[in-house]
Amino acid sequence: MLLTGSQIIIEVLKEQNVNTVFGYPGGHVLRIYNELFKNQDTIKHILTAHEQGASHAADGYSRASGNVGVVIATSGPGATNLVTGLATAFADSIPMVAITGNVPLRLSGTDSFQEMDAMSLTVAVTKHSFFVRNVEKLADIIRDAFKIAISGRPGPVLIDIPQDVQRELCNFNPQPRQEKEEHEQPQMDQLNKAIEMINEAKRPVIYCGGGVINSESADEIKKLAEKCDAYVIFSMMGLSAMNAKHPKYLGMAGMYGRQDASRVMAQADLVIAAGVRFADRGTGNKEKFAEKAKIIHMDIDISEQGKILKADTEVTGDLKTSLHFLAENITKKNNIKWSEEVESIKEIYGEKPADKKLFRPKEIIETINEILPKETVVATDVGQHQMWTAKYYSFSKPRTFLTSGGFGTMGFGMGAAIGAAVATNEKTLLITGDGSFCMNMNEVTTAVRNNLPVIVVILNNGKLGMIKQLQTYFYDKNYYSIDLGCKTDFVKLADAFGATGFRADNMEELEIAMKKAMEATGPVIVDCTISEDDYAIPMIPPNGSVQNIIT
Amino acid sequence: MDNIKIAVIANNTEDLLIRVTSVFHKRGFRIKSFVFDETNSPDLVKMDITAVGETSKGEQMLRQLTKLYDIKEADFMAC
Repeated sequence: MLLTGSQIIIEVLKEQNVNTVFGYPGGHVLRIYNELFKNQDTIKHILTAHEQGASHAADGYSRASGNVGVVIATSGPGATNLVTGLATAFADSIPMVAITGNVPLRLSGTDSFQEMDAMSLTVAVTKHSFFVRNVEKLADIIRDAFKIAISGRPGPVLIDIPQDVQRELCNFNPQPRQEKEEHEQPQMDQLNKAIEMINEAKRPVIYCGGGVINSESADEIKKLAEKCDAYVIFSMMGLSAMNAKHPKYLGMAGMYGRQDASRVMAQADLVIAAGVRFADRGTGNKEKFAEKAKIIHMDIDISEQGKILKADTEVTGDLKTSLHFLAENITKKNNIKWSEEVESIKEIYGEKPADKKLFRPKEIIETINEILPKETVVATDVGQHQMWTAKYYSFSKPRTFLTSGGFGTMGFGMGAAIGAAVATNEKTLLITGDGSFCMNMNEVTTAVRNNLPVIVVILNNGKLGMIKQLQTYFYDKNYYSIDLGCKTDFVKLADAFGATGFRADNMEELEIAMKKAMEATGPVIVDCTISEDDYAIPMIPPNGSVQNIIT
Repeated sequence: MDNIKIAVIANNTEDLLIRVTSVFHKRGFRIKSFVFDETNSPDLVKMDITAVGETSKGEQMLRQLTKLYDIKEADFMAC
């Protein structure tokens, strides 16, 4: 079958079962858009307001569905606008394929209009990137891109395709959908050593990261926790891997985590780390992290082993297989003394119950949590609201918490929520702050245009709250460049965008607004005024430990 | 700060050098010597790289290098 390059792109996308792409057209991808036009019954294209929004939407689509997110952008500024989105996905190991157009090969390297070497540009922010010089190689490169994105530790891949390659003719042979490369199987001696350590442990915890969600190992974590009677603590990326109502669930530890979780980690004699990379925000001072514990580190990516901490046992390979094997082969335990100790730590250092008379972030988030269906996908931006959501929202199943954990991208949330709403076709919640929302609120237009059921709750304190918090504790209260001085009326803004807006200044108004938001079609913005003196505390200072926690 | 020497076999792609050198840069290694040559196979090249940096980070850098899509083999050589 003789096809043009742009036809081949569409055929391979179909081959990979892609039915949704996010993007923004431009001069050097118009041939691809012409083919998308002809294939709109099989591939839906969601036009965003900006390429960055499209990249976050493809990322959110992937996080919510587990499928590869696909984004298309033009050359030059289109490609540079994707960079933050790719970096966000790369830091959190999200499988994405980005397709950019580029100038014709004869102009390549001449600084021609909208030219950018997207392949080199994205070396640091992708798992791999391709530049396609020859149409003969195009189909296989796209197939490889999908394979790389989903295999091993997932991540984003970029394919840069010059305009003439999109035009040229080439014979096309359809192929089956790319499957993941067979994962490396963990070695038996490592697993046996881990079993021995778990059987000997008297105070075990499981430290659960985003790898558990990527490898779909939530059931195995639950089984392992129940069998060895371990408490389960999470990095931010791992939250949602276990139902928060489970008696062994301890929530997020670390810099902005729950104090009781961090204290339990410090008392453990064994940390079973699963798909977690001991990132600085979760670990703090690595010398003091879980200093009484031996560590078993399980990860698909060998380059994470020993990067931050030297584990006592490294189990490299497929996490689901490792967890399953451990759960099957360890001795059933009942650590009564440890459970009593943990329950007493929870009693002393756990979160105090909400006081519904107050309109504070904790009460706002818990109220929203009660009103929305329990499996609602929740996206956040980055800042205090993100930490409050991570701490106070009770997630009940994997892929329901979408947040920029590794890269900390303010402006991620609106795009991510759009992607999730497209993937699930269900009400999707975005909890954001006024600072983050203002970064990419242009994407409300995308939600309106596609009538997407996104509920945006802005925790509005008129400040860059997290920066204020850091300046309070570490910079002598020298408050600078944090006052957004924003006179924007977000309710009127919602109306101007063609969305629905509500204001909530107390709990009663919030409950009414959320119930109306549930009944509304299309996007809703709920503007909640909160105090600028609400901080995301307790907080462990950077490179600190639970011994110097700020409460 | 000490020398490390790494031998690499990789796919013969035009973007290989950017990727390899970016890993050295990321982990704070300065390249002192870089020998790049073709192999008997037209698809593969070999590189012998000597770099100076914190040797304690060398093992980790090697793992990060090995992770690159185009790298087939990478290992330390005696300095």
